[in-house]
Amino acid sequence: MKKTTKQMLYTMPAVIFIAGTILVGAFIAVIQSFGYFPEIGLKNWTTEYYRSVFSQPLLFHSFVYSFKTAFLSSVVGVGFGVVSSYLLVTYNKELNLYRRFLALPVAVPHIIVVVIVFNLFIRTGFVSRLLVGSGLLESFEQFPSLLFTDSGFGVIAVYFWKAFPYTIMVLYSVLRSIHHQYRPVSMNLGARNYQYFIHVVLPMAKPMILTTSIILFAFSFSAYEVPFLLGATVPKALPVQAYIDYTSPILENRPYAMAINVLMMVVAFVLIAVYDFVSSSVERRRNHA
Amino acid sequence: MRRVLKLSCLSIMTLLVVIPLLLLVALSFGKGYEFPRVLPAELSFESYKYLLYEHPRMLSITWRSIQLSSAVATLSVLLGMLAGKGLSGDFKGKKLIERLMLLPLLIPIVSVAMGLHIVFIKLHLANKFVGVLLIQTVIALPYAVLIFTDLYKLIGEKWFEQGDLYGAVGHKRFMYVTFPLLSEGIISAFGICFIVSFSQYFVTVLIGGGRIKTFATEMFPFMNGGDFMISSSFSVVFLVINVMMLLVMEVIVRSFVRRGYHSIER
Amino acid sequence: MKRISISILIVVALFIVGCSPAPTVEEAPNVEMAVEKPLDGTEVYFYGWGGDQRINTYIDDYLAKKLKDEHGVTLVRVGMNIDEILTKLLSEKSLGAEGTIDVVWINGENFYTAKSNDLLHGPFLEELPNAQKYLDFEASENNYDFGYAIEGYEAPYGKAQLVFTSYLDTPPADLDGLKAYLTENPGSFTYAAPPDFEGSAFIRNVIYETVGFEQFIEMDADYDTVKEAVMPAMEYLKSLKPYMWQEGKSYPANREQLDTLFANGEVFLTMTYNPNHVSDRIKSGVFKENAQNFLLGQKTIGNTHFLAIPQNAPNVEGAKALINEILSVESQSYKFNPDIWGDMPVLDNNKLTEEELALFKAAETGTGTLSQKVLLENRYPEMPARLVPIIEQIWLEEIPEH
Repeated sequence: MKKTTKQMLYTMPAVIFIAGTILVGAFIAVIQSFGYFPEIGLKNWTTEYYRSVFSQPLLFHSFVYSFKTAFLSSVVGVGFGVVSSYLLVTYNKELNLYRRFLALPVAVPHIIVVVIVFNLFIRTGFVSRLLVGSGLLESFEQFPSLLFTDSGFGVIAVYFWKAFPYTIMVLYSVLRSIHHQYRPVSMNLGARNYQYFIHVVLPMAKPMILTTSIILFAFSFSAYEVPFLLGATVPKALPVQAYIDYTSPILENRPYAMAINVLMMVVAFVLIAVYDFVSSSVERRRNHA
Repeated sequence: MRRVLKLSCLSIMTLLVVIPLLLLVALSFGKGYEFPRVLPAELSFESYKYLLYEHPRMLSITWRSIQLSSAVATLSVLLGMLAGKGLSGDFKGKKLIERLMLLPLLIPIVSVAMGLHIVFIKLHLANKFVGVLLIQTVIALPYAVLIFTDLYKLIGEKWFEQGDLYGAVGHKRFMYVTFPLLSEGIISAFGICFIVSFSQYFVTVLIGGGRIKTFATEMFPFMNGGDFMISSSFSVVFLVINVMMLLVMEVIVRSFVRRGYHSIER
Repeated sequence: MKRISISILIVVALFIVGCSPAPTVEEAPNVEMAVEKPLDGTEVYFYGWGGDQRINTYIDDYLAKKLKDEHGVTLVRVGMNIDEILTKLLSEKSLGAEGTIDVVWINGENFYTAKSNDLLHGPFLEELPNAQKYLDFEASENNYDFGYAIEGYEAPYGKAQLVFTSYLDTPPADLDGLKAYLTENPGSFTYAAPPDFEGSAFIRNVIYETVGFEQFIEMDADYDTVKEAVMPAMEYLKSLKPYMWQEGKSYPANREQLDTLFANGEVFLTMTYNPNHVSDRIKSGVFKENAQNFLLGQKTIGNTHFLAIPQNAPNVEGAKALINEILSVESQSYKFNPDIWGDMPVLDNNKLTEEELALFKAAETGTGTLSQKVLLENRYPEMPARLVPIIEQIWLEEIPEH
């Protein structure tokens, strides 16, 4: 059979898996957001839940809060990860063990990182104790309130700590193969180190970097656990509000949760569209070059 | 100068990773951690004792979880390799499929939870081991697909063409060309998928209905931030298991690759 | 070579996957359950919050052993949050699917949801021998759960009451005292934000202390009515803000975090529904030895938590046996011991013999606690479940800020 058809068939098992489950689940979430929830007797299609969600004055602030924490943690995390991976690749020794050590945070579930960050940064936490113990601070009262503020510090810290090791884990092999293939050539053509990094490595690794950033962003934007436990009481991150509505004993509130969830899904799709746009423009530029 | 910069960057990274982990370990072994103590007051193995001996059937649950997550990771890697191979080429609808693959990573699971549960009940997969295995695979699969798609793209056709020239076709091609080239990817993909699967609490509880107990289902109820000893002990054991599994997998894969080289030499 | 590698792969795959489908205890069978089943050899699945090691141990060790010894039944505890349980029951009911849960640990708002959506089996309470023997069926706490009629669909498990803990010899006695204390010691007080159960209870307690509780018993679940009624309490909480932790703009997410802040001295008090929690915390060295419970105000809110049986429970008889066992004098007094759990008993003291009463007296050994007598005499009832989310909503709008 044709090569391309064969290729498509290879993807089929994975596709069936994912489509059969996630899509169906998403479909049900959407219809629930429009008020169709027969399990508890809601059978009228309505947009009232969306209207109610969008008329909340705090919705905008929740959105911004989620966006801010997700964006900062992903961008800084990926940036850090890219630089670190590059350093590792260009180090004269192999550093395999060290690399694996740096990847450890990937295996730590978010909720545990929350416990660690809580113990590190509350005003009577580990960092404060070090400062007070060494005399740099007189008492814990001088330590700033970092958690539970609308700076989102705790949330960003947690996601950052997971983001850069994940980036290293994923990017290292990519950077290494780029390095092997293109470094000698670049050196021959007289490129200096930073030129090589900016004009050869980065562009080649861009798709992977972009994908990783988007995945990290989407996850931290839509996950509730971390902002629920470390975030500000107001504004609540979007997924936190959705979680509270979802777990409310008043089941009639579920459609509100679904409306917010659908909103977050829309954001995810927008992200994919952005990714498409950016990667196709990269393609275009490469073809022009 | 550049050396110093490199070293300081690396040291910052190291500290960033080490300090939180050390704190975790310290909390798991320590009792009495009020302000202003920097380290816990006394050494205590209480939570490890509870976790390993007193929590009912913890050891068998742990063993089963390792089996479950290995199966999930294996299945994800296999399907991911296939899909990655397919996606490295070009065909109609490829973009759509690529987007589809990313969906589980971008959509929060809580949104689709109820719908998923209903689907699984209808398929008689709810409250069953197989059901949990399948749903965890759905969640882990995109990571594998991403890794292999990129890897296949990077490797390109040339190695396979070379192999064809030397008569490596079919399973021989898999063993002597594909597998060694992909081995790094297999290791990372297996690793990530194992971790993702092993960490799944919500879907395991939902689809497994509380009947399928995993390390995660026993661990997460303690993560409310109350008793730090028990939550950090669980976390340390969790980490150790994950790390060991990754090492084991790496050893297995590399030994296969080496054996492949040896047989070429013959 | 080929054959060896393939066989290795097959063996590894078999090892990984093959062992699994043979379950030890867990999987739910597909077969229809026989209507009449002898109890011996069956299993009972008990679902509920699993976040406290001691409660887990009480169930895993003590209750499991009792059930095994006296009925030959294997008790399996499953830690699952009530919202997850309700979601599961709801989906199962809509599809007519068989269940996996025999007994649910439930209360208040969640019971209301479960019962009004026909998720529960019942009525069953009056059938239980120990219920007949020891429960006071006239008591309102046994007839109404958060203001909603129980009608025999759930059995009382234990009693809880909101208490406050501090290191002070003379803690503030009431809301005015609290305010005065905070003016002297700013930044040393906070409470968990709703929807945390205990934080929410504190707010309701403040409401009761400022505007009384009677008006809420029959109140409509109407936003404006409730808001007007609770406004004075909101005003009080607002007035506290400048003297509070983080100036009252932001709050910890749950009581466990509040406990840590208290243990570290960042705040001067903590609060909980379990009056014996302080004793356990002192014993495990988390709180210092001079931690003392007190009541802030005239009375504090108390409630009962319950056990229910889902309508699709696979082992209803086993469920009833477990619940009956939990209602026995032995189990209730054992549970009351602060070293075990410290959860207050639900049995009617008037129906107990001298020896049985002595058992309870002997169990009351906590450090830093208030006596059961004091607690029960100074107890507010919970308000109707439907009002609680409205109050939480109002709090959210009025109190925390950017």
